[in-house]
Amino acid sequence: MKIPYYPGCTLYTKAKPLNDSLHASFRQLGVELNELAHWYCCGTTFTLARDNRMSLIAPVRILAKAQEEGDQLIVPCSVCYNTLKRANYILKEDTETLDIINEHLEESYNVKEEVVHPIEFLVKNEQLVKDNIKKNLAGMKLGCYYGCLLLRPQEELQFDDPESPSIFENLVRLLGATPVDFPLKVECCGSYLVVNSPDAAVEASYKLLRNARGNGAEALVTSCPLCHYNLDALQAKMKQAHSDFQELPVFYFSQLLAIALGVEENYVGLEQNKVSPKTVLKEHNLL
Amino acid sequence: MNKENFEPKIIGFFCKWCTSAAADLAGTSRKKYPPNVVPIRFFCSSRIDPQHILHAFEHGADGVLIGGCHFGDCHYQDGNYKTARRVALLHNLLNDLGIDKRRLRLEWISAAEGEKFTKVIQEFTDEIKKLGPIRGNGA
Amino acid sequence: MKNIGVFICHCGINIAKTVDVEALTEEIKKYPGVAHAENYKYMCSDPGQNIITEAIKKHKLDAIVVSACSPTLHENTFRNTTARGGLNRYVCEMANIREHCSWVHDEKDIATKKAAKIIKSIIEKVKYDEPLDPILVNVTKRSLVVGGGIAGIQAALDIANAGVETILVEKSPSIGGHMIQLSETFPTLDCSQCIMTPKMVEVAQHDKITLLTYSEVEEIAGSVGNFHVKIRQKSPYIDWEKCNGCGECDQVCPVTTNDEFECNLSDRKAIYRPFPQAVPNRYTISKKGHPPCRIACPAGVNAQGYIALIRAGKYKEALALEREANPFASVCGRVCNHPCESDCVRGEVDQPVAIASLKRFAVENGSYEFEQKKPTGEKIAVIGSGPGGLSCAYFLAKQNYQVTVYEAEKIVGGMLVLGIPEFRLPRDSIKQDIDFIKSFGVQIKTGVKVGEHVSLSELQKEYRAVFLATGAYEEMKLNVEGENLEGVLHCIDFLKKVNLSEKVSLGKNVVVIGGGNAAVDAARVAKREGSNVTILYRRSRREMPANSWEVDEAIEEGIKIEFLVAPTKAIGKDKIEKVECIRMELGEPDSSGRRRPIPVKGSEFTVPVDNMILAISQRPKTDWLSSEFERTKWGTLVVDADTLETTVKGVYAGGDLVSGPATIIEAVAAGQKAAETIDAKIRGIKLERKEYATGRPDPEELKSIQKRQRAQMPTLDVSKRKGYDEVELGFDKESAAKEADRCLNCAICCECQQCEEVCEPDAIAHDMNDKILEYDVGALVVATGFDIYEPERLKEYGYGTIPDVVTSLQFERLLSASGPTAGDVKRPSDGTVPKRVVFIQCAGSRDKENHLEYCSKICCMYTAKHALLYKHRVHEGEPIIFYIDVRTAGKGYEEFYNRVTDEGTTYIRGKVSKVYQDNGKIVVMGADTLSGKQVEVEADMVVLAMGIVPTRGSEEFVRRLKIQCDANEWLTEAHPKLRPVESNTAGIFLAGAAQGPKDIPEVVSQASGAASKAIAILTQKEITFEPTIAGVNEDLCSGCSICVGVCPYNARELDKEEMVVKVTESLCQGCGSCSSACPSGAAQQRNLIDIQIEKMVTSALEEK
Repeated sequence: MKIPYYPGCTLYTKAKPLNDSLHASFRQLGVELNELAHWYCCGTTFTLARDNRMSLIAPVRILAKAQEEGDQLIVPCSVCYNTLKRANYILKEDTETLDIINEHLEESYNVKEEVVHPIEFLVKNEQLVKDNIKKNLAGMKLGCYYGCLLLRPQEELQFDDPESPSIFENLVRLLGATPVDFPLKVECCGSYLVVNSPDAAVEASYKLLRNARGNGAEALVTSCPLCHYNLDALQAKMKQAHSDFQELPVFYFSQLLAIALGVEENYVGLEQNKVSPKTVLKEHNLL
Repeated sequence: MNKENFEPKIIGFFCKWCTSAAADLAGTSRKKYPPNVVPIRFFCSSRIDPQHILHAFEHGADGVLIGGCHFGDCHYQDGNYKTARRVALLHNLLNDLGIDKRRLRLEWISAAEGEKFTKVIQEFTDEIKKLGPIRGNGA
Repeated sequence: MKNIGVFICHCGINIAKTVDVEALTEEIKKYPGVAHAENYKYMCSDPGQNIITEAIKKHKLDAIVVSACSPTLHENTFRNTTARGGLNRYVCEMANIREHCSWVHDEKDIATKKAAKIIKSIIEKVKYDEPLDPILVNVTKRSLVVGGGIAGIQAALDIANAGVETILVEKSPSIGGHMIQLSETFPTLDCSQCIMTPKMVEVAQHDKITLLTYSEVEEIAGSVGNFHVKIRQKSPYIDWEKCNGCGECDQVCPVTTNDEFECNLSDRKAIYRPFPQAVPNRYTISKKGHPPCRIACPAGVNAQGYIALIRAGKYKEALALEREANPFASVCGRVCNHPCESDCVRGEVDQPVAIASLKRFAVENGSYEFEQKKPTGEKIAVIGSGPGGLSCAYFLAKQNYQVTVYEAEKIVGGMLVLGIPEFRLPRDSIKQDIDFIKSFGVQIKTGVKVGEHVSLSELQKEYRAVFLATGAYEEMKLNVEGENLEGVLHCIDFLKKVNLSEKVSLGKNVVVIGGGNAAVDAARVAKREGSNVTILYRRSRREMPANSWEVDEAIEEGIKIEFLVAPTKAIGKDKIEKVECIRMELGEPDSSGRRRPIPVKGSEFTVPVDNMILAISQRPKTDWLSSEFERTKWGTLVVDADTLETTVKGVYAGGDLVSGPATIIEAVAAGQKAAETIDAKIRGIKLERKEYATGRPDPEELKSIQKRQRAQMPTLDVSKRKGYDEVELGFDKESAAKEADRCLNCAICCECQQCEEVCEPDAIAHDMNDKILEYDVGALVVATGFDIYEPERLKEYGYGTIPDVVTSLQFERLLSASGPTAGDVKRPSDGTVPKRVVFIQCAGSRDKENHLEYCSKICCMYTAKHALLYKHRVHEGEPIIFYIDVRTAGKGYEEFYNRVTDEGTTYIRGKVSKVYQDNGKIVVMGADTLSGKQVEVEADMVVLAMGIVPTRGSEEFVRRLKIQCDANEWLTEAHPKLRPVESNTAGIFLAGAAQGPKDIPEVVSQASGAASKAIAILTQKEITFEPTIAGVNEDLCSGCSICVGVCPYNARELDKEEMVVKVTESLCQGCGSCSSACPSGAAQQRNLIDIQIEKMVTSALEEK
């Protein structure tokens, strides 16, 4: 099976482990993620101003290109997912804007491309995953961190319940690990503030990690490159600001998937984690 | 008839609760406006049947002005909505009947808007003057 | 042609300055239809009016036009003048030549010309004016107030005090609404009950008020002055005339359920009084119908009832209740196939309640005093002493009939004794039940075979009625070769021999053919007799009809089961040596709904056996009955499905004889049914069967129930199961109590009748029905009140998942001296006193995107009150309030708020985004907008100031009344500023929170306002309405009903018989919408008909 794939900018740079482990694990499932022949930056933030049509052009071009290659597009980055899916949502109603944009572009988009997050794909194809598990994750206690952009606004994204989602926990359970529920799993990690107010991002992520560990998590799992950066790379600063801070490794969901499906360690990208997850994996005989 | 000294004959269908009261207020405030509009008082603008409007045009009215309450203020809940719909439909038909639709005007004037009433009478009279008589020089 | 009089007023110089009144008068005099015209300085003055009245007489005028100022000023004046002059007031019209003419134009000739046009158009109108009479409506001097909260109470008292009879309807058992739930009210901190109870008592004792609580308005017809209402008075199942509120019943009721008055902070009994000061002070039973378990039981055994009694430790009463519908409590407690458990709602949560085993527990732990009774009534004969026959005997003997049971065998009990092995059903258990039945005076003659020792016709002569219950125990043949070889046994025969302790010798290898209970029993017996046993069944496990728990026990005991196998022949010389079998596969379903077994060709195999026991099925033996008794094609007896009478008069039948092999409980049910029929027949009364209606919790309610394991029946260790000792050992007291506690009390009241036993005035009436009461009333006041917005919708606040997050109403109950904690503020989770309480204002309100857009008005004040009262109770407590604004717009409110802040409450301006639990503490995550920081507060308790909504269910009620509500379902007032207590429907008034959020002083004011409006109507014999309404010319009306939809007042209705539209004149407000909508001109507004309008237009357009 071949499915069109849109990596987005960070997947080749800071979020390379997500890209590599995702490709590798999907390959184990017999799914080839076909990167789009032409793709562009999605714009990274969705415009709140309805008459700002310029910022819709990027998503439309991407989706129009994707249409040529298939009717489903896998988008792993939460920010890209949010942007593309919301573009679809408003253009379904606002045919006037769609016409204007189509007029300006070479491509023509008909708002029929489905934007799919890899986790949604996995949960829909449970049996396929189950049949291919080589290493059960042996009850490892994982806090599932959703962040904001996958869940909100609920009506436009329809990803899961925004207050108490469970799709991620279902995936983790499928892989044999034990999901640990912690109340702050849908709260913000600090997001862009890491650029101009890094202390705020450090505080926000610190609270999340502390809450997850406090509820019994041995590691955190996330899907968003920005969240992963804040939660992982800022741990050194968290230690400086809070002496009682205990490190907690942060996985991309695809890294765990890869391990469970028996992918070679090279392709899982564990070296790039600032806080190495190798210890916790060794503890559970997964390395 | 000469357009220069053409004095339009305009019928004003006014609802008693709002527009007619606004006319009263204009009078109490001693506003001045042209005398071309003869007011006819209804309990509610929704009593006005398109046939009355057409009757007016048929019998020489150069213009018909309808005055009712603002949406939400109708003394009888939603009479003005009905009037709005009827006049909208009638406007569409007037061209087919050979009548310039500008000759029929619908205004929402509340009992406090004596000033507005005056203005509307002035404006509408001027407009009908420009349009000319309904017969003779064409519609 | 009319004689019109036109009177032109100078109005001093107001008109005369710019209008030439003299010239005008002359012109008008000449106008067709004008009989007289004159002018005068001040027409409205006394002399002016006299001019008119004189002129009417002198010139024989029949219509009047007064050309003067605006009709808004003097229309009424001149109409009165006209009436004084002897004419109908509605033939008088005014022409406004002042505001519309003289005051707005300068040039005299222009103004005079216009004035002439105006007057002429009015003259044209008046030519067609008809004399009209005001519409008179008789008024029924009675009012209906809907809703018994403070609004309804106040309105009712005001109306009643004005001398008008009032009916006050309230849907709960007591009046009081939400106000009676409050502890103290702001800003005075008056005790709510103290100020309200005197009013409530006043209502109850007022001789002009009829108080109908636990009632709802079901239907309303008619219009102002003459409404006809139907009120449903729900059954409290207690006669309130007799109940004296003593509360003895409350003590003994074994069922608890959520207490709605305490906002689910505590429980109440199924029989209850909402609160101690309830008015009326009577008890009510919450009963939802009958629980599914009872309905599933063929005999209608009150399972919920006896389980509730077991839970309450009342074993004796439980046993007595069990035996009311089924004398075989001991037997069924062990071997019933319990259809009740299949329908048990607990099964939707985790596992069904072990109803049958609990029945057994009551038998083993409930005492019973044997009393030998001697019936004296008519004689009835029963044939067969199995469960069917003995049950029938029992039910009849209870009704004092003398019953004799004829049993062919030497022992009593039928299949119970002969067919069921003792390790499932010990002899003693059977004896216990049979002794119980015999104590009612039932005679049993054993060893008497009817048809042999005595004939049926003899019995028919000797006895008033006969009940046949001879069962079905004739074995069906397998029809295979070798069936008659020695060693091939038939199941029932085999079991009977074993049970009668006759010698049966079995070889080492035994196969049992069949899949029903008999097969499994036979297999387990054969095992105990020392053989290796294999059951061969032709379908799969899923289709096996035997009780699955019996199959489990069989497997536990080492019995093998081979599925999809059937025997084809028994092979051997004289004795069986082998069985040839063939494998089966499942095909399409057969007539029983189970998949048909199809032999797989070429799959035959043989098995060496010493015995083969056939347990396929049984059928009744009916050869001893005459041909008068009709049989079905399966050989069972035909009976009337309702009466159980056979085709022979006076002979009834039931049990396996009629149904084929079935269950014990079905036989008991048949015995019960037949007994009822026989009794009714003999007494000559109408046969009445008890009717059931299912009552159970909604699936939504089940979500919050915690899963619990079903109690495991302790069983004899497998190693000990060699003999016939009972395998199942029965529950101990602790297990039974825990298991009984899992029951969900589906119907709430279970009709266990404990209340009946202690009620001295004999007020309990379980068979009570709802009553429909009808009244004529002249006006209504709707005061249906409010509810709080569902807190579960605010998921981020954790209500329902965090136990110490409560609503404001719940907090009121915690503060109340009569509440669940006697006024001490305690955490619901552990009962400790919270040291820090966080109050969240605007929970659900002022939230346009997700919840209620509006402000609920009362929350700022009551939250301030809550904080203050909490501080008073817990001196070292720390109240913190998160707010957006603090709205204190009332008398004394701002001062109260200042007091609250002075006395130690912290206000933080910002919304709360999340409430969660961390390390046992509740964390409230919010914002402090005044300092620009995020705040996190650890709290012991969180109180949500919930927004308010109109009472749930009231939208439906409002539709019935045909009054409007707005987008938020608050009742709509006729005008938001000037008519706040009137609805759009004449005669229906609004009071209280039903019309919009408001606090108690506003509610009371509004209630009195609504009452005064109602009184204005009700204290008059007749009320009048302006007659300038729209009528219907029935000759022109085609019944198209366009006008009906156009009318905002529902004043028009299509009469389907006459196919014309009829108008309720008192409802028509005279807008004229219908008149312009009517395509045929049938609808016309009086004195503003189409021709009048056209004439007015035409004359206004005429040139001089």
